[in-house]
Amino acid sequence: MTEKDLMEALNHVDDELIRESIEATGKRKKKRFRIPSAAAAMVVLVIGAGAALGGSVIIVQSAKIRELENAASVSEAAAGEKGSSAENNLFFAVKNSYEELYEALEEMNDREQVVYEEAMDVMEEAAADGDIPASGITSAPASKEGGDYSKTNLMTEGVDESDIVKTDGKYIYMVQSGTIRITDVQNGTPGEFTALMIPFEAPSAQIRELYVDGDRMVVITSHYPSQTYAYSYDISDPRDPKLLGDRVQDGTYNTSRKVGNVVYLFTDRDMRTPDLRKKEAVKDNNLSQWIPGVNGEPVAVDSIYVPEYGRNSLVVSAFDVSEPTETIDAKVILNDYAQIYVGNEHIYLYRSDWSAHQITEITSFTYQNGHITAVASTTVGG
Amino acid sequence: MTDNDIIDLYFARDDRAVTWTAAQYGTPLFHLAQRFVAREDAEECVNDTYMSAWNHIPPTRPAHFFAWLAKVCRNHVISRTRWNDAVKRSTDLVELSDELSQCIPDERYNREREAEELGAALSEFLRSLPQEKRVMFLRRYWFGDSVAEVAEQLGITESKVKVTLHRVRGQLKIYLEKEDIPL
Repeated sequence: MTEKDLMEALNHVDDELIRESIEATGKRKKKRFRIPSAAAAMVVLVIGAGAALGGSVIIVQSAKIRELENAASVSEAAAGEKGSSAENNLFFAVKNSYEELYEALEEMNDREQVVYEEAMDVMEEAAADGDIPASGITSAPASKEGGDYSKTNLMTEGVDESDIVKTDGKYIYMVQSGTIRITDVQNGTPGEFTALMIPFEAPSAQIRELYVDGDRMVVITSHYPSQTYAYSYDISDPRDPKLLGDRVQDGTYNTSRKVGNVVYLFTDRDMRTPDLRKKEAVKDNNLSQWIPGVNGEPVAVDSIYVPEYGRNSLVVSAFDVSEPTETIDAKVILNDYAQIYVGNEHIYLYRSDWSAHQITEITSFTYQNGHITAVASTTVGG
Repeated sequence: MTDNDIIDLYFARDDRAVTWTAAQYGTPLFHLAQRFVAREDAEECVNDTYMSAWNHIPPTRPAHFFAWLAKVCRNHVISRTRWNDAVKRSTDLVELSDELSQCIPDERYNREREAEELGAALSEFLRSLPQEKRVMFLRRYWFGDSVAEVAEQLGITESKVKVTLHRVRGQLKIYLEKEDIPL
């Protein structure tokens, strides 16, 4: 008998015992993260159970959303009353140079201990939150103009979410086996269809979701290793869509939103310093080895929010559906797998700490015409 | 989305089942795998876990979804472990293996046993322990948690964890010796 035999044999221990050890420790776990003071200006949001997945599968409790909005507005107001920059209240810090960013990541390496029980708690939280109230999802009303048809369920009116099926009332646009199937339903029954092949950049690419709005369609795809593409089409003639352009963003697809003509694309990418000395790492031609890129350009250092803990980089970029190759804004927010909620004016990242004293840490960002700005961070009980 | 909802998606052969599994449990599975193998292997193990879930559900309907996933993930981890390549073994695994080696009976009692049979014996042994010791043992050797983490989870000191685990390993060795004595 060897250690290997014992390790293997442990895998045959009864499920009931494993379950017991999950549940027994989850309830007793103490808080792991230190909540930084406002002056320390750092992070930690997020840990990701039930991360937003986009489209109709996104489910978030409506009550929690209201709490987020209320808490964030209180925090913003407090920051304003103090007469200080709202960003002074952030859990994040922005570094002045890639050298400083490199050093911060190295320090994080030394400091960070990935907390397995945190993840366990997330698992339990996800299970506990499983019964999502139906009121958490609002349905967009049927169009009053082009006939009676339903749209993707939205969490926030006016903030469109991608989906695997969309319709404009005349055509149904559906992700199907690596193509977009566009079916004419103007006669009330499925008629002719067009199978649109997406010009994938990699054989492993998969279509994730799409948007349809007026004469524009945006198709989001992703492929291993972790890049996300968005293709924009002119669908003024749905039987013959015309590719307007595409864009690429590092990271696996997390979610997206469309407000007006602007799409906000969220991807996740692990961020660590490369196997290079700082002096080499910060050279322009080496930045792409560790800094997430948008359309091939590493995100600017003053657009990277660095917390005290968390090395998942949430990459957010905004682009106009008619000019997909142009980036309006791009940000990287380091965190530990964020939950995301996008309201009418703000993007919220939040993380619940399921310690004995439950708290939720929230950071809000404003977004307007594609420009994203960090506003404030706060914690609330519960 | 409850576990049952996700499992229903598997039964409906809806590939969102995997998406939801990854969203809800990807992080803990990855952290579990990373305890034992290198990062790149951990990612592979988690992906293999999703594939196994897709292939085995249905007909399997796990009673406790995460425990089932964790077990599958750990199986992939153990299969992938380069036992003979010390450089490739994670520090945690080396430490855990060293501790577990203290439970191995003397050579004279050595007898080939199927992992399943041994697992059943371990379950029986663990059931004979008080809950706290049982949980402590599994957190350390099943989940690969550090002594400090186990102490924090259970609200006790690290030294108590070390002493208790030392005793439990001794008890397990005696138990396995008894179990391995040929009839």
